[in-house]
Amino acid sequence: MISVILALGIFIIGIYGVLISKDIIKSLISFNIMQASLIMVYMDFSSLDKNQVPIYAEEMHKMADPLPQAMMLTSIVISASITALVLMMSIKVFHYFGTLEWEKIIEREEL
Amino acid sequence: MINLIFIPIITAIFIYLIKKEKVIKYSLIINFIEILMILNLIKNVMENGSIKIIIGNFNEIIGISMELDLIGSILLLTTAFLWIVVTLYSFEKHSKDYKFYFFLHFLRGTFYGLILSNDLFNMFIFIEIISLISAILIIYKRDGYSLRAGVYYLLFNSIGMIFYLLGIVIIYINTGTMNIEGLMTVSLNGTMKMGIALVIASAGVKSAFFPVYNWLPKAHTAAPSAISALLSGILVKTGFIIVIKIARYIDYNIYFEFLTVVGVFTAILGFIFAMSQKDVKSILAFHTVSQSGIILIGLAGVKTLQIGGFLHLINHALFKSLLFLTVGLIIRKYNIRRVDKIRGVFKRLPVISVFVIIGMLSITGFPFTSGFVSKVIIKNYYHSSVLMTFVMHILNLGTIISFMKMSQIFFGSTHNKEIKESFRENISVIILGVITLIMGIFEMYTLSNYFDMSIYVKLKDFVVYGIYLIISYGFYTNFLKKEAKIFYTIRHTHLNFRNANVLLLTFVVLSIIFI
Repeated sequence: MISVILALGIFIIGIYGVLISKDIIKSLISFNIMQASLIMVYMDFSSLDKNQVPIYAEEMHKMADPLPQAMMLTSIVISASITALVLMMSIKVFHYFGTLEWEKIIEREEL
Repeated sequence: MINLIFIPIITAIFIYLIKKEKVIKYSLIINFIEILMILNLIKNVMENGSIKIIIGNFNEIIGISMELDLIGSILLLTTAFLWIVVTLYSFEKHSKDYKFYFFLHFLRGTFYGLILSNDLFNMFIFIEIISLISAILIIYKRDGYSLRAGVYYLLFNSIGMIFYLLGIVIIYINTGTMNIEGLMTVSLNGTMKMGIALVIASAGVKSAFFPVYNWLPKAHTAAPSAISALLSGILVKTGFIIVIKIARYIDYNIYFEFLTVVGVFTAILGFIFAMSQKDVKSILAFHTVSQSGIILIGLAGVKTLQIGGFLHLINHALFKSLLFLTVGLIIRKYNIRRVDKIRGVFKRLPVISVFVIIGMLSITGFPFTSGFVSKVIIKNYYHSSVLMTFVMHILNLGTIISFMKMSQIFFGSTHNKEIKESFRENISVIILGVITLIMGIFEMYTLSNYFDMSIYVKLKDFVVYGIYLIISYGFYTNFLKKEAKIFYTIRHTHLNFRNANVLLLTFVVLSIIFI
């Protein structure tokens, strides 16, 4: 239960970061924090007081559910690729505007 | 059925490796082969009911299951057809750009995967790949504006999809499976409803519902015209596909009121923003928001209403892509995007303007066109409710007003002698336009023969359309032409990223409260 509360705390930190950050990189970090807390809560629910490895499990009901681990591995890969793409784009944004703040990256003038 | 996902992806990899213009041109054959495969699947589905497979012969609870029913196969056919049109359209501009076609083919494969998959987590993966690839395609011009729109799109959509992940975690804890059919096995208690509410809220982010629509106009105006057509026609429908898939297994009553209210707000706000824009592509982009609202009003309800909403989804895919492609051609010729600067399209580009008019008639619901059929189904369902009838009339009126503003590009004259049209550029638009034109009559025929829903065109409909035209002409000359101050204010309101996230959080909380 403690880890669920901890995950909730991390999630709230992530949301708070998304709501206040003025910068592309900070928004991205907050997004990653939110994702991390979700992974934590999911892993925790799947193996709460059932902590045996599936192949060596002596009793069926003590086996940790292996499916969430596979799924979270996939979602880690996805969030890593999103992070990579956003970082690449923010380099280009910095070359173009000279800043990474959302407020200063202005909209285009009307054509 | 799984071949359908892998064929486009393998084609994409071949194009990336060989890098020859000839391979790019011949890759169009693959699109036609896919159409044949999909037609074969449709025939199977019509005869034997929905097809279901589980990859790797696991059982249903832990395996990755895929299902194709009639709705899915119609979506597949629309996707494949629109992709052919867009590929033909982009041959003129990016004929040697092998990276562009790599992403285009890859995107089609993942979208087929999303339509076919019957598993909540698999849908998450496909949606995220779609967001990634479409972000790359949005920033394709590589100027500052499109980069900004791309970052905004990708980050905002990813934050929205986190709530989807949270929702399916809650559903998994309750049902013990990721298969959508698991939704049927448990009773809808508080936590389960919360999970479904989170999933629907994230669908709202992908399909631009009322408070979270803000990424859509930015992305649509920044992308190249071919990609805007795909975004508006197909990729915006990602959220609706989630709603359709979930609606098969749970009672629609738990979200009916909430989604209808959100749909009405989305539709009305969309056209208010659209009629105050001056950029041609922004007008079309905000109209996508407005039409999304109408689709949502349809999809939220009972079965007859759902048919109307689904038909509007398909029709919107066709006519909005047609409008984006034709307007893209006009922008390419004139090199300006201001609606009050483009003049004399009717004289210089007669064929293109005919197809723009076909698109405009369909979107405004002229009798016998496709937009008319789907709007009439929704309107007929709500005929007893005074409020909803009034809302539908207002929606039609707003659509006509903003397209009346756009139609000023036809008149007047231009001095630029270089503006001429060629058949080679127009061919994709002509194919799409003819299909859009006959779609209305085709739908009326199929509905009355196979679904027992006969829709007749009465003299009254023409009269109502005429009244709409008169009212909107009065509104246009009195308010829009003189540029009333309120429209200037609306055009220059921009939401920054933080405020958009506040709205996103509000939307999520509201959907948890009301579902």
